[in-house]
Amino acid sequence: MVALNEYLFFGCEGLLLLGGLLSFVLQTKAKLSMVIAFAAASIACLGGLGLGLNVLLAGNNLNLTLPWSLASSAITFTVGPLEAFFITVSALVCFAVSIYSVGYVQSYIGKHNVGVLGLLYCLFIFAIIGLIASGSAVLFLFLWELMSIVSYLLVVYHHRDSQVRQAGFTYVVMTHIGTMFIVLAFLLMYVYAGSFSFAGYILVGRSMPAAVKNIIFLLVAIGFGTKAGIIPLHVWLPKAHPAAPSNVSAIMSGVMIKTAIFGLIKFIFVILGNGPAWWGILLLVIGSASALLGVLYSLMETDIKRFLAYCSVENMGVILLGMGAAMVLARNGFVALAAVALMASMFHVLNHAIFKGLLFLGAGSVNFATGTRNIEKMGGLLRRMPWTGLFFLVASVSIAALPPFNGFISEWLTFQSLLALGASGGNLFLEVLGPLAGAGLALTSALSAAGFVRAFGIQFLALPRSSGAKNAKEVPISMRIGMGILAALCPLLGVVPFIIIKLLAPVTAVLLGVHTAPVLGNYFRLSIPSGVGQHTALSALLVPSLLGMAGLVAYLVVKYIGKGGSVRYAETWNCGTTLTPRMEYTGTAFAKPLRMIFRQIFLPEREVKTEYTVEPYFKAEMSYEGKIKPVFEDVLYRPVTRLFVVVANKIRVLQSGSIHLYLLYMFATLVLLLIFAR
Amino acid sequence: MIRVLLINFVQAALLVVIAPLVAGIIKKTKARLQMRRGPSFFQPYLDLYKYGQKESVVSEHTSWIFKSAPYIYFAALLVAALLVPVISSVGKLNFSGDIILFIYLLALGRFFLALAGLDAGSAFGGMASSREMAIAAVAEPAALLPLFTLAIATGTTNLTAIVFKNAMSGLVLLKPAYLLSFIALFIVTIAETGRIPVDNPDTHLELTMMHEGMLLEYSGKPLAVLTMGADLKQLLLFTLIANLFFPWGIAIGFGVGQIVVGLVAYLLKVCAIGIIIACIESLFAKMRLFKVPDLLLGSFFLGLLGLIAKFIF
Amino acid sequence: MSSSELSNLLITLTLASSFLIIIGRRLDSVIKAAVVQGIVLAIFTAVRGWSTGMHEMYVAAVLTLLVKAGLIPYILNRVARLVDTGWGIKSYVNTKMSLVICVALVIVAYSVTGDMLASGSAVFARALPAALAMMLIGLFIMTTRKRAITQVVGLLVIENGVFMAGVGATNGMPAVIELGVFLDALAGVFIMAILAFRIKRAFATINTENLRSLRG
Repeated sequence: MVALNEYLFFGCEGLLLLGGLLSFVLQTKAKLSMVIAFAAASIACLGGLGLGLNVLLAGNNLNLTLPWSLASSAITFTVGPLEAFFITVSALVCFAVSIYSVGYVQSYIGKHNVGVLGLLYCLFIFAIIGLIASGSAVLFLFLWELMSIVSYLLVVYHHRDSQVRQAGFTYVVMTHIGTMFIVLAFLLMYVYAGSFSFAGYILVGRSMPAAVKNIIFLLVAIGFGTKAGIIPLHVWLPKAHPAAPSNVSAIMSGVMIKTAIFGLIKFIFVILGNGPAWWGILLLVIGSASALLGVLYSLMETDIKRFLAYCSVENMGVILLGMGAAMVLARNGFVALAAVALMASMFHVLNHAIFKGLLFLGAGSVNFATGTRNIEKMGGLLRRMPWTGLFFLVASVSIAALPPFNGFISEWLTFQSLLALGASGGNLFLEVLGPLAGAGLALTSALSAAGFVRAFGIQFLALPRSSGAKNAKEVPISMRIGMGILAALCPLLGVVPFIIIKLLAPVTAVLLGVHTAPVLGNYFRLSIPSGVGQHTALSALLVPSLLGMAGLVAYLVVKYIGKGGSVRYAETWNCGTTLTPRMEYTGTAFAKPLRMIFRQIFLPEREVKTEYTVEPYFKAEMSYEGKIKPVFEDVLYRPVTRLFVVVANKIRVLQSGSIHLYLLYMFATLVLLLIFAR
Repeated sequence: MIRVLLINFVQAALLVVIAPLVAGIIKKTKARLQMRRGPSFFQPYLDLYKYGQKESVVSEHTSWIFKSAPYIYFAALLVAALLVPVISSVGKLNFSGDIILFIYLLALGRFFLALAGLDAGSAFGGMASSREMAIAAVAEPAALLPLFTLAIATGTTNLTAIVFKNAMSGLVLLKPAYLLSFIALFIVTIAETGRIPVDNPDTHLELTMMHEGMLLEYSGKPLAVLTMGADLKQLLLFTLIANLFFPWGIAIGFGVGQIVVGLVAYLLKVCAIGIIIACIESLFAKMRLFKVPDLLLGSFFLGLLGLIAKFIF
Repeated sequence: MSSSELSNLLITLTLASSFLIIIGRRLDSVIKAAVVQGIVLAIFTAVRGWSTGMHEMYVAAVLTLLVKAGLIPYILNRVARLVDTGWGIKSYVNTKMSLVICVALVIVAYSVTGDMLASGSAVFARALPAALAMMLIGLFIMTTRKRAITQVVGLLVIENGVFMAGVGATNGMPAVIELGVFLDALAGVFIMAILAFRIKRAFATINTENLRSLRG
């Protein structure tokens, strides 16, 4: 069985490399290269999925050492339960996206170089799966950097647009700032461990002095946090995700930012072995802030992909909430409850990957069909693109955490773990923080429900607001299949979440250092052991069945009781005039109450200009411009970049352009060295 | 086991049957306070019958969401009705669900109703959807925080367990934590059921409507379903408050006497709450829409105080 | 005269020819001084070959004569004529000052290499400081002369210094390195020639000072 894991792993990575290279070599035959790239990626992802499931279910870890060495450190791959889980998540989403891409990339043939896209795409997935599995810090960094650079190239794929180039620049700068912090953390660990392998780090990690552990925690939090996109390091997300092609955005938002969570979990739980309670509290606070601010800013966006990008920021916050709760609970000795919190967090990782991937694929489909990303120009798409609409609706209901879909289950688990924090009997601060964070989570999920009513409603319902929307047609079959795979998973995991709980059991066992995996109920219901002896349960299977039955009963009763029931179709009443698309509610209008309620956060400004033919009676034209203040950019990033530019200008004096001056520098240095440095 | 199931279904059926009656009681009380005779207590039943007789006119711009939203809304509320202990709180009803599921089922119904409001393409529906989602967003944390306080006090989030424990503990309301939570939850109930001072359930003017706006395009049988659903939601929230904070008379076992006592006590409590709500509606004017979040923020802080009080006292 | 005395004389002459390059006021006298340096260096190489018995040195001597005293000055002359920007030497530092600085550089070179000569033959003991001095002088020429052609002459001087150190070493430099160094200088000169021509065509001047206006 061990050999099977190795075959799967090599097969997966090797096929990705091969497919990418072949696609690049054959770039002149666009259609062939595209099919090769994405078919190779799909099959490779199936292999990855198999590997992950094999390790999680059968318990066979993968430990692999290759005979070459990279920068004098051996190339080792280690896949334990934690890595296997993240590989499973990544492979699952990438599989669906690869199938989707076959149809999506067809629109690029002739306009862009599809061979390069295929190569970059395969390399991207290669790097992601490789870095999750890597067993040494050097290999991890190499693949992390490969992932960052390849994703940068993918983000600037539409390089002729200057906004895309700007977005790519922001992205590459931010990701390298994060990488710098990660490198610092690794180097600090090297000082204590003496080698770059993760096994070596694990041996030494727990026994390091507390101050060093604290520093490493902060470095890792900032470094991986930049990649995960938490406040205030999130500024690259809303720029980079819309700029990239939609299948790439789906992988970036669904998979790539999860690798940051993987790194964070690995460092905190496995290597450093958890720390003082303030670590967990810090993550709780950052998580809450990211969740709230992410969802608030998302409500103000009219570009569908920017909206989804901010939503990702929000969900990363929710994941961090679960993690923070787990850390505090574990520190205070409640291991069973910490397991619940960790399961909540990682279940949400899986869920978010699935429905965010699906949402981006849906946004890509809509863009494919209508040619625009602006929701104010859409409308009425549900009748023109029924399947895409259905899948987008499934994803929206899931992400709004409504029963009976999977989003509700992970949110329920997160609520339970936050409440457990409240009942944990520690100090007053923690006991209040837990339920307060829970209330914050409730606010976040309600706001995100509002956001998705807006996104789905304005795009898919009522009348089309532009000719692009009016002429939209359903997308090709491969795109529908890709979306459908993910969409089928949402209700499935909502009804039988125990599948995932079973997969997560070995993961939490490894992370918390216990031998027996915690079991949370069975296929019919999840039950949480609470501190006071009572059990709290949620019957995931029963709720949807009850809903279905209730709906059926209601429908039947209504159909057969009462004389009425015939349906007549007519125009919507509009106070006597004909209804035009301009009378519909717009996305900006929908968000107005929220803009007013949270105006202290948004600081909205607006400008209304009127042109008159005869003042002040006859108006020729009115224009409205509204915007919200980009707080983080104004307060944090712009001053910092300005400082850098000022300092750089001062140093620039050295670069005079004169050859003679440069030679003089060399000459003087040489003479001085000769005289003094003997 | 069978008895438990039977009790649940009977409770749910009771809720469905009683809901329009409670709405009628509120209307009658308001009318009396305005020195009018008012409609009969059973007028809502007659209204439902009337809707059932008529044909429904559907806008030609709508999609399947418009047609299915009433049923989804009502189904979600029915399942929520199965969760709430009405007459009896028999011990270990672990299979069903808890306060979080309850609140989120209400959210599920609201989600689809808001979508239906946008579906016809009229500005009224859009406006109602947007306001409803915004106010509900601010109301949810205000609702959940007192419920969390109760959950922490009891050690579980299961509704029947909470009610059972409170029933065993005697006069629960005297503790400051419970009192503050009750007031907070009461304010939220007013917001969720769309009563003055948050929303006016009697008019269809665009200045005043939130819930009614989303229903504007419906007629005939779907409208009956939606109206029934709204009444049921109102009754559910009343039941929740009544049984969580005033669990007097609630049946603890399966004895017939206990159940009868529980039924009578429940009816009395719910009618009392209805009358109090009607009095509040008559005493206050509707608030400006943008002041409502301030009210809910106040309710949130009351809940927070209750939470802190739980740990101090 | 013994071979070591002859060698010392030739080393001194080579160093002196560097001074000739420094004090030259016209382009053709500078190039002629470079020719002289090449010849002297060639003779030195031959003498070393005779005294050590290594025959590759004779080959190196002939090569030096042909290339450094023949081909390269010829190319430089051709370029100077073609580019036709006048025969004056433009420099940041005037002649007297240059002379003083170069003397200082020679002193520095001699004092620095003092420690390093515990082992090694007597010829090497003389050759190394002189070679270092020539390298520094060559660098100085490159730094202070404005015209591209004179800067290449400075490069040549550096090159000659390296060559002399290699020739003066006890066992000589491996042939590969010698050849490599040669080709290096040759390539440099060729490139300079081509570029000077093109720059003149584009900008009507080969004054490298004007390159400053290209800075971003």
